[in-house]
Amino acid sequence: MDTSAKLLQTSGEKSPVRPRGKKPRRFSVGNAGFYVFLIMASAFFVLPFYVMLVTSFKSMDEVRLGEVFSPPQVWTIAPWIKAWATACTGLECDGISVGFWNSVRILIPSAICSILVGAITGYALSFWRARHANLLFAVLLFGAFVPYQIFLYPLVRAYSLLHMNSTMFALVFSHVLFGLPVMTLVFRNFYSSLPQEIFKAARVDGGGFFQIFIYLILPMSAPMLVVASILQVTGIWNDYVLGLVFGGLQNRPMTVQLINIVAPSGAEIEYNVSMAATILTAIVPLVIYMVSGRWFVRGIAAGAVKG
Amino acid sequence: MASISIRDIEIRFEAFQVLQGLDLEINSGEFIVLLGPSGCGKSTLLNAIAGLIDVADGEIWIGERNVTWEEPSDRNIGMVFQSYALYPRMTVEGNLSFGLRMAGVAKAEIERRITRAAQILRIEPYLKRRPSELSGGQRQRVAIGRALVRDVGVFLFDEPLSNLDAKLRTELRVELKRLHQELGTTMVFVTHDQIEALTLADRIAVMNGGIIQQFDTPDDVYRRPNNRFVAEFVGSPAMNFFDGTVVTRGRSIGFEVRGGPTLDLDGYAFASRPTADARASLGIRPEQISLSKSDRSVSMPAIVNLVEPMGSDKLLWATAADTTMSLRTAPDFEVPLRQPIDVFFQASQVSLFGENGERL
Amino acid sequence: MTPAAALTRRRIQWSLYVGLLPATVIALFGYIGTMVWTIGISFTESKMLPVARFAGFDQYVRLFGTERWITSLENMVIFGCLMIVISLAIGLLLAIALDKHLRGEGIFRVILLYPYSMSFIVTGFTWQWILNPELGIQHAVRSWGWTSFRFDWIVNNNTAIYCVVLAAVWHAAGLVMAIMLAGLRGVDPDLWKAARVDGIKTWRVYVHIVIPLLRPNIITAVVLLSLGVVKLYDLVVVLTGGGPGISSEVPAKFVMDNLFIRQNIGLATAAATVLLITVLSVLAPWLYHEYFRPSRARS
Repeated sequence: MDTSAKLLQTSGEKSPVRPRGKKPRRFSVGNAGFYVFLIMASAFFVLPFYVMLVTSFKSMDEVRLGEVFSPPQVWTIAPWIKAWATACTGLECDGISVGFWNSVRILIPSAICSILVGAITGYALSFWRARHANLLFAVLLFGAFVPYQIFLYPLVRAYSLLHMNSTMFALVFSHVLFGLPVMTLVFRNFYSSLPQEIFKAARVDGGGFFQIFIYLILPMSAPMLVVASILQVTGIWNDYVLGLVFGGLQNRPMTVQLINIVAPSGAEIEYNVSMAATILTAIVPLVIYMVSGRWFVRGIAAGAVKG
Repeated sequence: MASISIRDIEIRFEAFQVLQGLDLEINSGEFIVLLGPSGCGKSTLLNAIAGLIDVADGEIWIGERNVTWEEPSDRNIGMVFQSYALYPRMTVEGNLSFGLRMAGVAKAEIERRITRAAQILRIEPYLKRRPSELSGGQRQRVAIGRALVRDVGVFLFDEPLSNLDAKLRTELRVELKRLHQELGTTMVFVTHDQIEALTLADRIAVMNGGIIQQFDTPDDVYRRPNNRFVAEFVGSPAMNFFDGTVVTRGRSIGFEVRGGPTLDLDGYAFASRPTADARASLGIRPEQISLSKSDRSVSMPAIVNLVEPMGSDKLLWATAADTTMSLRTAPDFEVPLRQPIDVFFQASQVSLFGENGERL
Repeated sequence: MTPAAALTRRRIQWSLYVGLLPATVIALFGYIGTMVWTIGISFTESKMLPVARFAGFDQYVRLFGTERWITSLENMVIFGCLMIVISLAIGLLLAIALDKHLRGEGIFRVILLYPYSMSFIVTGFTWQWILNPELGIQHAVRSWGWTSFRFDWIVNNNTAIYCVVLAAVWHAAGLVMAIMLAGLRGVDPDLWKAARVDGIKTWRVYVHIVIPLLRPNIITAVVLLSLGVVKLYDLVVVLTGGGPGISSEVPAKFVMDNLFIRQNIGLATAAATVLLITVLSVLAPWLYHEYFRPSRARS
């Protein structure tokens, strides 16, 4: 006797009743809690930036009123113009645009060089057999962990001995130097994940070290180049110490100049201008972050995987 | 030990209807295999029985209970996944006892159940090991053990052998069959491998496109497939098909092979005997074709092109009536290659399918 | 081997070493050379300029007799523990929340991670204003009516360092979240099904199964955060300037100040060497564990 017949006998029903409609949805208290948590966390993260934003659009009279959280009653972009063009750094009053263009001039060669050197080194370490390659990699990795204050003073002395103190070259070289471990790590890991057979086929075809790199590997590196660019552009733009120590007066990046603009000795601090200047300093990496989306996260993941 | 009754269920994924109006009755203690190609809905059905997927309509009964809206842990089921899904950082003992510990079962009782399960599954030596230290076969047994300690009435298997190499697969298949014989629990097993289905099942549900094509014993599914899909899916190498016409001449009925002879169908058990001439296809399995004549066999001219020695027998690839066919012979048979010969088979063993694919 | 083949082989070998030249020069001179030089100076009597007079451990003795240095070490430990623990907790919870694929997940992710893209200088200024009692939160809350509200941590000796913690967590929690989220995405979904069939409650699944699986991610996050702790400089300079007084001084700032402002090279290099040893003593066991232990079979 099949099951339905057995059931009909025991329950005494004429025919099985079919429930219609959807399953009663159990309201998930857990999910609601997480939602609240996410919203609170978002508020915590957004708040400081919001404060800066609204303050930067107020006139100083409104700022003195001190209502930090309320939006401006009268919106004004005067602070922004002043921050960009006329704010004073020491004796010069050309605004933070000076620092902006300095940062750009520092960024382009530094990023390009550090990425290229990192790529070639990563390529050499992952596809080729060089003597002491592992030792080299170990030293580089070790250098990534060591606090850079250890390296600073001798570098300053070395640069002054070579008469390149405070030159752009010194600054770019320093960025390449300090960026090399992460760049090498990131590219080496990426190249290790590529199939070795392609490389072997190229060697059988007669390709040399640089030929294979330029014609085969580099074109295949596109995703990693994007990730490395994001890492380096963000890192170099946000850098403070290297620009401070090696930049000199001519090549001060935006981060260094910002401090001078914000904390002038004597006169009243114009908070609205300071905040506008700060936001201007943050704009480039912020835009990169917004635009790159998932690539930014991929950059973090790549840099976070130590071997 | 519990029976399973699936009544008129419908499962939708967004706007797409995966299963509709599906009925299935499974008796207590049976080993049922859900067999079909990818996307046929077999895993969906299994997950619905487990309660991991909600049904949009219909009912699911396990034993005497309507479990349609119950959580998986309340359905008296255990489940073994393709990846086994053992808790990675716990020992085997930890894996087996975890659910019971969380439910607050007494320590002594947990011990008793683990000892019993370990004995049945022969995993006593591994109780203190971690999953990463076990072989594939051992992991499968631990996965089954997780369900065993909860004393469930139904075991569900979601393609547990698919990720393994051929040798291990054969080994574990035998293990499963032995386990079923020993425990006698109802088991529902999902696979796309028809060998597993034929060897393990008490009954096979062949599925395609969300519909159960045939629900029968392995023997019936193999010998008397309901439709063309089942006939093609089950059996390796696949069944041979010849297109043609069923011709009725008074009381006798025959099959005119297109581009070939007319075969006498006397002896074929019709499910629905056609009253007039009709287009059809005739199917015959490789091992049912012979190169030697026997009593009441029909014959067809053919030419053998290729021989594949399989060790236990020879697989021959031939052409007959402009169609490729395969047949088996004894391993030491001298095969006449590339000469016109006759092949023989019994009309009673063929399968005839009408234009709509249904069995005639 | 034919002469032509030998020539090609040698050329390839040369170009390989040419390619590795920049890295080798940097590793040798930029890293090893400078490190040796710095450590060397710490054993001399150098003040404003490096001199070669050997001074034994004098600089180190002087160092540990300096209150500013001791305070900075204490601050580093306090800051490190608090910042890492809080960032881990918040980052993990955020990752779990995002992993549930709630509505608006994309927007949340953008909001939660953007602070990490900002410079420490920007972060420092941003929080400096909010934490300013006269202009920031304390003032605003008071103007809403709660006149006795106090939030003047930043001007208080005992609590200034906590402000640094706050700003650092704001900056870094998103990073931890991204690392944890990557790990969560790698969890076998069948594990969830198996736990559901076993009738195990969701929070227990997280505690007993998922979080142990995240151990490598947690370790990565801790290592990255620890590096930030040791390197902490920009943020302190901008947020509190090390003050009030020396209450929020940190080792990296101590070194920088002595190197470039106070012109006390010997002391600064000694401090830098101490920092180096600290980093190594934490790093060495981790590296050993990761790379040199006879590897057990991993699942």
